Parts: sequence; structure tokens; C-alpha cells
Amino acid sequence: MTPSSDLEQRVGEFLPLKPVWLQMLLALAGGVRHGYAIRLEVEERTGGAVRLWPTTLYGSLAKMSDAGLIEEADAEPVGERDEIDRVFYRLTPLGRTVLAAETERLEELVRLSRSRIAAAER
Amino acid sequence: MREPPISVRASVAAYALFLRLLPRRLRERHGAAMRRMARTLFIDAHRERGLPGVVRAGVATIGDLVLFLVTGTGSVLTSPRPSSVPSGPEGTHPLPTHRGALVQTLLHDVVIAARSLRKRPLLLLVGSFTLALGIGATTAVFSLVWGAWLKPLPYPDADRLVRIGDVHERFEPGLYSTVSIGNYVDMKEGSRTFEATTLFTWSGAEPEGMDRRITLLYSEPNLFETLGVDPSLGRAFATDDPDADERTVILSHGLWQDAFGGGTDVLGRELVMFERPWTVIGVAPDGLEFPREVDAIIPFRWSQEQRNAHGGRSMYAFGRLQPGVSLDAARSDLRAIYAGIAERYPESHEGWTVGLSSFREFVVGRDHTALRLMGWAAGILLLITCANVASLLLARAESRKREVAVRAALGAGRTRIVTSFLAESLILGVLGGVLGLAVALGGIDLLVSIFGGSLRRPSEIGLNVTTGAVALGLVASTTFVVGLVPGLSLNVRRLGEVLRDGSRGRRRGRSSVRKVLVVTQVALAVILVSGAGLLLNTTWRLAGADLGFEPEGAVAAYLELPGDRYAERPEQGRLYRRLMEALRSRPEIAAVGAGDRVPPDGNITNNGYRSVGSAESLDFVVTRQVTPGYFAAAGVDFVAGSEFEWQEPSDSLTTAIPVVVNERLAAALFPEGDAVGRLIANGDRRFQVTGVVESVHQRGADVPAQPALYSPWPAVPLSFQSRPVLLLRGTDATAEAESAALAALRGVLEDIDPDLRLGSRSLEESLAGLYGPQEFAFSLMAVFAGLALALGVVGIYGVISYTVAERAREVGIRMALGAPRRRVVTEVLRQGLALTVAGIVLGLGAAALLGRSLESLLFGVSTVDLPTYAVVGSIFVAAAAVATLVPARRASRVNPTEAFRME
Repeated sequence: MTPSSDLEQRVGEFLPLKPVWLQMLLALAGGVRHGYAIRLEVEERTGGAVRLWPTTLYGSLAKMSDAGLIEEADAEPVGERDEIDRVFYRLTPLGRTVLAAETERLEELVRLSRSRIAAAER
Repeated sequence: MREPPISVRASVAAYALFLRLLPRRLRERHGAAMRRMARTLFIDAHRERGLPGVVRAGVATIGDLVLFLVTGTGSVLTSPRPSSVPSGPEGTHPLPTHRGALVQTLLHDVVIAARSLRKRPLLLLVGSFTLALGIGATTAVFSLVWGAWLKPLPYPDADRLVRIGDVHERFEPGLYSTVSIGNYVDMKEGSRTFEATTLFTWSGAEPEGMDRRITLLYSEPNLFETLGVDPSLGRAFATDDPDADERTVILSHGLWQDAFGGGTDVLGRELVMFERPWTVIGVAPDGLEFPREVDAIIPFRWSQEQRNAHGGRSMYAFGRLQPGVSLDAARSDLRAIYAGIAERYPESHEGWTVGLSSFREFVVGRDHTALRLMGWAAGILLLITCANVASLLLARAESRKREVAVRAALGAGRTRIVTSFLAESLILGVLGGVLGLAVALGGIDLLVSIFGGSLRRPSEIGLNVTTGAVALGLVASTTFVVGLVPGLSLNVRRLGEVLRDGSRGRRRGRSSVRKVLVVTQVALAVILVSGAGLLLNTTWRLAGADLGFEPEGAVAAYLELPGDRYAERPEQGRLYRRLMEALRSRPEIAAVGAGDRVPPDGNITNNGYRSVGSAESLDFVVTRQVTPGYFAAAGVDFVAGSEFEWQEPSDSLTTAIPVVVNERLAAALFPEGDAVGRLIANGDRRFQVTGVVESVHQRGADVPAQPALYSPWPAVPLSFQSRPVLLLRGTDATAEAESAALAALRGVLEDIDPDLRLGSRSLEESLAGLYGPQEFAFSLMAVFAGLALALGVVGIYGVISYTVAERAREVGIRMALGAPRRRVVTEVLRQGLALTVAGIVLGLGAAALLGRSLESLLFGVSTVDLPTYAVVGSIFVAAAAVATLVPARRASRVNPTEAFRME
């Protein structure tokens, strides 16, 4: 699938992805979540190193949904702390593309970094 | 569900306060969820780690919000201890080693201070509330000043927008007159420093289907281009085709909402004004900031005749400088052109040139006195609160003396000890800041609800990033100042004596610092209260002052005249004459007249009036056109002579136009007296004085009246683009009489021409805003003075209570030895009053010196007003007596046996 140049350009605007956004998109790539569930997932996955405090969490949700990376979804409760939050989000196709593009960018970086390190060790 | 602990609830409340700093859209969308999540986080933190956990979570949550605001993109706040690193044992507070040693110490001290302050809730409460008052009030005032005055206009490169106005050599700096169309066009065409310029003026209309009079902006079609914005809907006026856009209108955002319900189908619809339809072609963006609130904009294109007119000054003008052009460069550019014009038309340009000033100043006014006053008042209040809290902490330092001495003996340096005091003030400061934010929010709402009417941009006032940053700065600086006082007043080297002397260490030094603080507080409060006193005196005097006319019982009625039937002066004159004759026979009407404007309006002046036979001429003469009956209806009394008869436009006025002048003009042109019958010349026109009336104070009783000349309408045409206003006086000075008079007018209109539409305004309403600056200043000072007085009293109470507690043992012993109870009370009272009187004397001295800065706001009161000072002094003495009496009585009830048992 080759994205049209228009879409390509839009995706390019988001790269490199802000670290918070990457973490949040990653959480949403696992399925429909509400804000608090995103926080829990990120905290768990990073072993507590990344904590999303409420303003950043919801501020970023608002900004990402304005940017068209995520959209509201019908409730599909995950069961945990549902009383806090009743608005669920999922990735939009654009969001998925951006996440994929960012992953590719990071892969490229990792490859480059590996080869340099290997060269230096030789 | 169990109620969460107070620390959780307080943290949630604090976070909720900070949420108000966020953009409204985000708040509306997610505010509730953010709050619920913060609450859950705090509850979890409390369960896991207790109070320190809540504090840590609270700091992280609020810090995150501030970071989000500052960076705009959010932040990954990583946990200070990644889980892979083992955490230290509970309670040892390990800190990252890369932080500065001082910060590390301070953080450690903060934890200790928090624990010890928890045991002194009263100190915590009083200290943080007092600071909250100072910080909150200052933040609120700053928000007001920022929103109403300092904030830049919402136009791109707004600093390049400048006002263009004529200035006379005798104008005070900052005063600008309107410009003539001919001069303007010459400057526009000749200037090389402007990107664009726009000519405009204001008028009013009563559109069909609306129950209010709207403000119309007649503007050169390029208005939006000069401002640098686009209409939010539709298009701007065409600027290239001189015949385009006839009878089209661009609505303000507000009028679009009011009259058309904010629908997007408004384009192409019609607004009926002056009995003719005007097609809506656009809607101006919300928050179009202009020197007056604009409801609708219609295009103004000058005729050839107007283009060549260099005499009358009737239009406003502003322009956008080219990038990089300084105000001075543009001024000399325009002045060179103006000098050429003045050479060609010397008679209308004697002493005149052109001036430039910032357009923002034109929009928001130049009210520097009120601005300065507010700043001073808030600053003084902040100082008082600082002095207050500093003396609280000083007392606290006294009780920590032994602990500090031990620490010093164990090798703690001065810095270390000062930091430990700073830690306490930091906690008070942060708490005070959070509470202060609440005070500021409440204060802003209060200030806007009180002063909204007299402020130019009430909608712009509120907490935002700028004002929030100022509040944060205030917290930091007050914390620092307040915390340094006790720390620095300690003499570390002599602390050893404390340990040697036991509890009876030397106390004199410290308590004298505290006395100085109290005297300072009282003195500062006296300054504020006496300022408020002078302003109160002024508002009383202004309210009773004679303006030269009687606003009560009079009402101004504006008629919309259909252009086709009443286009010319003779028809208009006939209509008004019929109306007035019919009205005079009605019992509800005591007097009726018409004129171009109603008092106290002082706009539109002309120059060059002289008494015939004299070369001395008078400038800035207010020129009015009125009918017989106008003076009686306005309540302006005749001093000599009488009014002129009705003059038809066809009446031959070749000899001299009969006019009425005010006392001010009569005194200036005919200083020998007896103005009636004398001749006045202006250019080649001649006027004959038929009567002299008292002078109407056009700008309030505190500003001298301008000379005025009233000529007869309809014989003399009205000033630029206005219709005569009917002025009705009811049978008495009540609002009922005013409405009865209006009802009578409606009845008469029904008979004479039912198509005529009517708008009205009571004359008292036209006075609103006349004393705006004084009322504003007074109300504000009253609020601050009240707070200052309260804080001063609290300060006196605190110091006296402390002294009493300190001397309890001595007093007890003396009473055991037979000292009478009364003597103990008097002694304590005397001590309190001595401090107060010292403060009053200092404060009144300072007030007398500072009074001059109030001068421009005062009326009928000298800047050093002894009666006011006497009242202020007695208020403070009385308040101090009450504040002292409570601890004094407590002292007298000391139980001698307990006193002996004290350490």
C-alpha cells in the first residue's frame, strides 16, 4: 500500500512523534481504551518509569483527537476504574499510519546505531 | 463510600483551581475526568504513603499542568525513581545526587518543616490565609490591569497601528483632535511611511426590529486591511471600486448573534436602518477592539467636496506603519505634508499640526492615574501581608530558638539555619499561593462585576498564563522575603547564650524587630485608608456638585427620520416645530426643546471666536445648535438676557445670527461684563448675543467648563452627521415623570407621523461614566483600605498577645505581690497604643507626601486634608484599642500560682 503524497505529507508532520504521543498511541494500538486505562497500561509497560499525569494525559488526548490521530469509540469497558472516565478512544487509520511510520523511523535509528556500535567495537 | 482525608480533598481543590488556567475548550471536554483521575491518584497515594505521598502526587499533578501550559505539548514526567533502582528505606528521602546541595538541603528542610507546621495548625492557617490575601489581591489587580490596559490588541503586529490626529500647540500632551477629510487624504496620498490608513467616525441608528440603539462605524472601506484581520464570515468592503457596496453593512459579532441569531445564512440578508434596507455582506471577527464598542460597520466614501475641505475637523483616523518605520519617522513624514497644507490654508491651521500615538492607547484610554493607584494599593497590601507573616514567623523562630541553638552548636552554619526558616515560609508561600489563586479568581469576578461598566475591555480580564506567571512570581518573592527576616535576624554567634541562659535568653532584639514590623504595617495601612478617605470625600462632593444643568427629570429622545420625507432641513424643522408645539400643550411636559446633542456632551468645538472690534480670539468653543425651549428642558438657567426666537432656515441671517452663550464664553470675550446685545465674529460670520446661560461642565464638575455658543436650529445646520435630539422635561424630577413625558411623546408621534421610530435615554444615564475614574479609584481603594485595616489590627493583636504571653510569668508574680488588675490592663493597652500611634504618625506623614499623586482625582479636597486624617487616626486608635484589649484582659487573668510554676 503506497499512501498518497497528501497522506504522506500529513504523516510527516507528526514525525518524530512526541514521546507522550508515542506511548499513548502504543497503548491504543492494543485496543479501545479510556484515559485512565491508557495511563495504567503505560505505567505498567514502562515499569513505572513513565507516568502520565492528568493534564498531560487529557491534554494530549484532546490534541491527538483534534489532529485526527485518534477518535472517540463506543464503550467497550476494560473494567478497571471505569468510574473515572467514560470516554473511550481508538486509533484512526491516520493514527495507525503515523504509529507505523514512527516505528519505521525508530527501526532505522536502531539499525544505524547498532551498526555504528558494532563498527566501533571491531 | 468513606469520605477521603482532608489532604486529598485539599489537593483536589487545589488542582481544580489550577484547571481554570487551561483553555476553556479542554476544560469543558476533559475537566471532570481530569479531576476524577487526580482524586483517584491522590487517594491511592494516601493509601500507600500517607500525607507525604499525597503531597508528592499533588506537586507532580500540578507541576504537570504548569508544564503542559508552558510547553503546550505536554511532558513525560518520569518517576524520580525508576522501578529498577531499589528505593531507600521509608522516611529517609533519598535525593538524586546531581541536584544542587542547597536544593537538596531545602527539600529536606521542607519535609521537616511540614511535619513541624502540622503541629501548629493556627500558624499554618493564619500565615497562609494572610499571604493568600496579599497574593490574591495583587494577582486580581494585575489581571485587571493586564486585561483592561496592558494586553496588546488582537491584531497582527498591533504595535504598528497608530492613531492619527490633529494637535494644537495648546493641547495637553496626549490630547488629539479629529482630522479634516481634505488634510487626511493629502496625508494618505503623500505619506511614504504607512502601509494603510483608515478614516472613520461614529453614529447611531435604531434598526427595525431591535429594541436598542446601535453604534454605527462609518469607515473607509479598507478598515479590515488596516487592522490586518478578515471578517469571520463573508467579505470586507471592496476597496478598488468607488461605487461598490452602496448600502451594505458588516455586522459585529455581537449584533450578528443578537439580531440574526448567529446563523450563517445572514449574508445577503437585510438590516433596515434609516428606513432603508442595508445588505449584510460580512460579519466582523469576535473581539474586534475599537475605541468604542461597534455594532455595525458601513462604508464611508468621501465626496469631491469633502475631499477638498481642509477646515472642519470631524473624522477620526488611524493607520498601519510600514514594517521597521518608527513612530518618529512617520510623524515627521506626516508633519512635512501637514506644514504644506497649513501654508495653503493658514486661517484654519494656526497653531495646529498632526500627531501620532499608539492605537492601543486610543482603544484602552490613557487612564494612568487609576492604573498607578491600583498598582500602588495592591503593592502596599502585599507589603502589609508580608510584614504580617514575617512577624508571625519571627514569633515562631523565638519558640524554635533552643532547637536552632542546639543545631548551631552541633555545627550547622548560618546558611543551613536560614534555609530551615526558608523552608517554613516556602510551605506557607505555596499554600498561600494556592489559596491566593482562589482569592484572585473571586476577586477578579468581584472587580469585573463592580467595575465592568467603566472598563474598556471587561471580557479580556481573567486568569491566564500571563497572570498565572505573575502570581507564581509573587509567591516566590514573598516566600523569600518573609522567610529571610527571621533567619537573618538570628545572631548565630550568640545562640550559645540561649543554651546557657535557659528560657530567659535575651529577647529584646527580636521583639524590637517585631515592633518595627507592626509599626510598618500600621503605617502602610494608614496610607491606604487615608487615600480612600480623600477619595470618599471627593465622590461625595462630586455627587452634590452643580454641573450647570439638571439631569433629573429630563429625557433625551432620538427620532429615526425617514430619509425620503425629512431629508432637508426645512422639512425636519417643520416636523420638530409641530412636535414641540403639540408637546407643550400636554400636561406631562414641563419643557421641551431640541438640539444637536444633550448636555454634558462637549464634543465638536470650533476656533477663532472674537468679540467684534477685538483681535483677541477664543479657541475650543463648544458649538451647539438648539431650538427655543432647549435650555428650559435641560435645566440650564439664564444669567442674563433670554433665548432667541424660532428661526427658519429661510430667515435672512445676513446681519447677525442670534446666539446664546455660556458664562465662560461671555467672561472670556466680554470681560467688562454685559454681553447681551454684543456682537461676536468668527471668520466672516457675525453673531449677536441674546442671552447668557450658566456654564455646563462638559467633563464633570471637577473639570472647568469650556466656553459654549448655542446657535438657532434649523436656521443653522447641525454639526456633522447628527440629527436633532428632542429633550423633554417632565413635571418633576422622578423617573415616573420621565416615563410620562416619553409616553406623551409617543402619543404625539402617533398623531403626527406614526412611521417615526423612537429611541430614548434619560439624561442621568448620559452622566454615567462622567465620574468613572473617581468612582473606580474610590471603590478600589475602599476594598484595599478595608483589608489593610483588618491586617493592621491583626498585626497589633498578634504582637501584643505574644508580649503578654511572654510576660505572663512577670505579670503573674506582680499580681501575686498585689499589683491591681486594672494597672496590668492599662499597661498592656498603653503598649499597644504606643505602637499604633507611632504607625499612624509615620503613615500620615507618608500619606501627605504621596497625596500629590492622587491630586488629579480629587475634587474639593486638598491632598493634605486634616479632617480626613483625624478620622483615619481615630479609626486606627479605636481598632487598636479593641485588638489590644483582648490580650490585656487575658494578662490580667493570669493565675499567680501558675505563673510561678512556669519554667
